[in-house]
Order: sequence, then structure tokens, then C-alpha cells
Amino acid sequence: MITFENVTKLYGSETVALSEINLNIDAGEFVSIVGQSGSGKTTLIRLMIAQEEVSEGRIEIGGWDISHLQRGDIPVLRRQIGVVFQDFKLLPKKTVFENVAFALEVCGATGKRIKKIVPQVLKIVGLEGKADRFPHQLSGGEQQRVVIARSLVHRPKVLVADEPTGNLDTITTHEIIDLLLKINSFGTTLILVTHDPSVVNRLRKRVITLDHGAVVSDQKSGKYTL
Amino acid sequence: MFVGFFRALRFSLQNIIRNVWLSVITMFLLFLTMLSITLVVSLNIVGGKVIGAVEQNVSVSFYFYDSASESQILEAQSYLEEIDATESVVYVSKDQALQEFTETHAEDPEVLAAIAELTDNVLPASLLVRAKNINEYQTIISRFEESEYILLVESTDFTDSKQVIDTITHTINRIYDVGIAVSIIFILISVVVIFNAIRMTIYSHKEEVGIMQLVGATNGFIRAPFILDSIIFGCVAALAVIALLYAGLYLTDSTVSQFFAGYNFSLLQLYAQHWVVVCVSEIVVAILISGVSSTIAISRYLKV
Ligand SMILES: Nc1ncnc2c1ncn2[C@@H]1O[C@H](COP(=O)(O)OP(=O)(O)OP(=O)(O)O)[C@@H](O)[C@H]1O
Ligand SMILES: [Mg+2]
Repeated sequence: MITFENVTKLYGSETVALSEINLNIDAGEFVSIVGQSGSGKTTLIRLMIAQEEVSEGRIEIGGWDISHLQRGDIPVLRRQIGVVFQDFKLLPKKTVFENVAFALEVCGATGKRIKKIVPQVLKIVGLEGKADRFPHQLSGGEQQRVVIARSLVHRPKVLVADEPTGNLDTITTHEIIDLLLKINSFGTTLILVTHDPSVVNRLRKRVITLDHGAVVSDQKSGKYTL
Repeated sequence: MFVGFFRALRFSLQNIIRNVWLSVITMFLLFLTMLSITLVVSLNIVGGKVIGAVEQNVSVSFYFYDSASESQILEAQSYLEEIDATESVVYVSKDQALQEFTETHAEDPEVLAAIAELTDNVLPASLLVRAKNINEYQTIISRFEESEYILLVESTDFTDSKQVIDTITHTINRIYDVGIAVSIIFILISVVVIFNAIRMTIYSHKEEVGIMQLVGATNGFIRAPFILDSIIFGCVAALAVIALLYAGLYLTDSTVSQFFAGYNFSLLQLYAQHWVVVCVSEIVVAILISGVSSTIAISRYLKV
């Protein structure tokens, strides 16, 4: 499903963010990526959604080489990958429904489709009753659920989440992780970047550890080993 | 496709309404710019017409002694026609001269009575010469004076309108230069203001743009609302100028026509006849000005 082949990413000519990464992620997998700050986790995600371009090597997603995409192909890729970032915010002046609908609107979905899909994804994330609330009327966990709902509107085959639980308490964190597990159980490939050992230990799924831009361990059913 | 267009249009209108004062000021400046361009172009047209009309009325007439025979006059006519600078030579016989005279004084019974009292036709035969170019009358006159035919001529009538025309041309050119300078200043101000208006709109939509990019909106869709903003600015400014232009021409038409009495010239008529060209060029120029500045702003501040 997702293949990294000798991927190296330099920022400028000095900073080596990733070096010689080789990875293979199958469809339907749930993969956690851990590592110290600056080890290249976010960079790995940015490469997958073509926010950054590889310096060397190649990345394939579903057999499609996305290492050097034309500008016009980037939106096509992004509609197939749901994105949840810690700093990828909601629009404060839009309601929950409007925030989720926005992702469909700007991609040219018809009003009819929007009315159909938005309630569906809000139901998946457990926010059926809160469609008309504004973000400031929601808890941090609920806000993150809206972000996840928004990432699901294109029915992506892959969902990438970069520290989605960064600002949340333990219980809320576990609720969000359970939601991600549920989405994964529908067949969506999940890639989760996290700092939180308790998350990784609880998941008992594949764990990839990065250090200074290199993969230093890749365990089938891993524990947090830093 | 249609969904996308109408959605982009809705976003664009939201932009304009959210920053309504900035939008109004931007459109007003673009309006002033278009107004000054329109005035310069109109002045150019009117100036051309005035000079053309005055030039049309310039001619030189040679009045012959009654002793000159018709064949001699016709010979003189062919001589004049052979001069390069000559556009046309019209022979006015004594009879025609009388007829024209009575026609022009048809409403003046005293003059007519005086004419009727005379048994002989006292009006001379003449040749009326027009030059191809206003500057060439002097050449024609001196060529004619060199010839033997000058002996048949009792008097020459040439009011040198060149002076008048030069003055008019000079004045129009002065106004024209000032107009162009003012227009250029307005264009520059508009470009800067529109550029900044679009830049501010882009800044205030940073979050939306970021989200659009990550959820897979196309570059075209992300840019479209900002481009539509500038098209709307251009259309509103152009339509306002068009409305003002035709209203202004309509209200001043009778005064202007009086000024041009005898020349049968009406700017209203001209602009009414060519209203499609007028409206289309107003809109195209306005959109061009706002489109160029917003495109620069978009390419600089909307990194996609
Ligand atoms: N846009 C950039 N320009 C230059 N250097 C960058 C840029 N983004 C990241 N880096 C550098 O690349 C390296 C990897 O950064 P990255 O953000 O991938 O780390 P990370 O593992 O996500 O860290 P964290 O856990 O703190 O989020 C770091 O040394 C960082 O300073
Ligand atoms: Mg990071």
C-alpha cells in the first residue's frame, strides 16, 4: 500500500531530516511512529501528503509514485489521504457541521452529497447531537473528533494523524485512540505519530521508531522503547 | 464545475461583504481611474472632431472680374487642380452665386428687396479651392499668384484659420497630456490599493486556505474567489462609469450641440451608436487593471 524506497529528505543542504528510509505498510495496517523530537516523524508525514518533496528515493502509495508530483496531482492525492494535525485547526466562526462540510464544499461536492456525508461522519466520531455547536462550545476531545470527521469526508484509504492527542488528558486520549481504532477497523490504513508511551503500549500494533532521521526499530506488536 | 463556480462566487461575495469598507474604497478608486481614462479618451474624440470640423470649413476663394470669360475661368480651374496640394476646386458661376446668396438670405426680406432692385447680377464668379492639408493653402495661393490667371482675379478670400486651429490643437494637447498624467497616477494608485485589498483578504483567509489545501481543493478553486473579487471590483467600477457617462452626456447634450452648431456633432449620439464597444471596453479595461494587480498579489501571497 505505502512504500518508502531509500527516501532521504534534506532541508536546505545541511539538515538531514530523514535518511535512507525503507518502509512497507500494508493496506489496513495501524502503524505508530515514535521517536524523539526532531527525529523526522512530521517530515515523514509531510512527504506522504506531498507537503514536502523527497530529496532522494521514491514513495509509492497504492502503486502511484508520489515522490515528484505535478501541482495538479497534489489535490488528487490529498483527497485519498485524511489528515489530522495537532495544529490543523477548525474554523472558529463555523459550526461543527459547517466545518466538516467545508472540506467537501471546496472540493466541489454537491449540496446533496454534503447533506448525506456530513451526518454520516459526525455519527462515526460520535458527535451526532452537536452539529450546530461552534468549536468554542466543544471540549478539546470533541474538537479533535470534528477534525477527524473532517478528514474522513473523502472516504480516504489512508488516515495520517500527527500527534492528534497532544493537548488531551489521558482519558480523552484513549477515547480518541479508540476512535482511530474503529476507523482502522473499517479498513482505513492508519498512521499515527505520537509521543505518548501509554498510547503505544495500549495499542499493541506495529511501532516504527525513528532516531535522527533513520528507522532504528520496526516491531510487529511493539512497545514504546525510548 | 458549476457547483465549483457558484461556490467560488459565494466565497468571493463573502470576502467583499466581510471587508465591506475596503471593498467600497477599492471600487471607488477604480471608478475614479476609469472615469479619468474615459474623459481622456472622450476628449481625444471631441478634439479630433473639433479640429476636423474647423479644417473642413477652411478654403480659399478666388473671385473673378466679370470680364473673365467662362472658358478662362475653367482653364484656371484645371491649372489649380493640377497643383499637388489641391484637394478639390469648385466652380461657382455668377448665376449660382446669386442663387446661393438668395438662399442664404431667404429670411431677410430687406436684402432680397435690395437684390431685386438691381437689374444686373453683381455677384462675381469664383473658384473655391480646398487643400488636402491645412498647411498647404499658402502654397496653392502663391502658385496661383505666379500664374497668368491672377490677372483675371479681382479678389482673393482666405481667412487664415491655421492660427485658430493651432491654438485649439495646442490647448487640446495640453489638456490631453494632463489627462494622461492624471490617469496614469490613478492607475498606479488603483493597482496598489487593489493589490493590498487582495493581499489583506488572503491574509484574513490564511486558515481557510490552509484547510483547503490539506483537504484536497484544487489550486484553481483556492485562487478563484480572490480572482472573482477583482473581477467584481472591475465590473462595479466599469458599470458605475458607464452609468455616469451616459447620464452626463444625456444631460449636457443640448449644450454641447449648441457649441458645435452647424457641425452636426453629438458625443451622446456617437456613444449611443457604439454602446457595445463603449461598455465592453470600459469593463475590459477595468477588469484588466484590477485583474493584473490581484494576480500579482495572489502569486506573491497565496503560496499553493
Ligand atoms: N521546514 C523546515 N525547514 C528546515 N528544517 C526543518 C523543517 N521542518 C523540520 N526541519 C528539521 O528537520 C528535522 C526533523 O523535523 P520533524 O519536524 O520531522 O521532527 P519531529 O520528529 O516531527 O519532531 P517533533 O516530535 O518535535 O514534532 C528537525 O531537525 C527539524 O529542525
Ligand atoms: Mg512533529
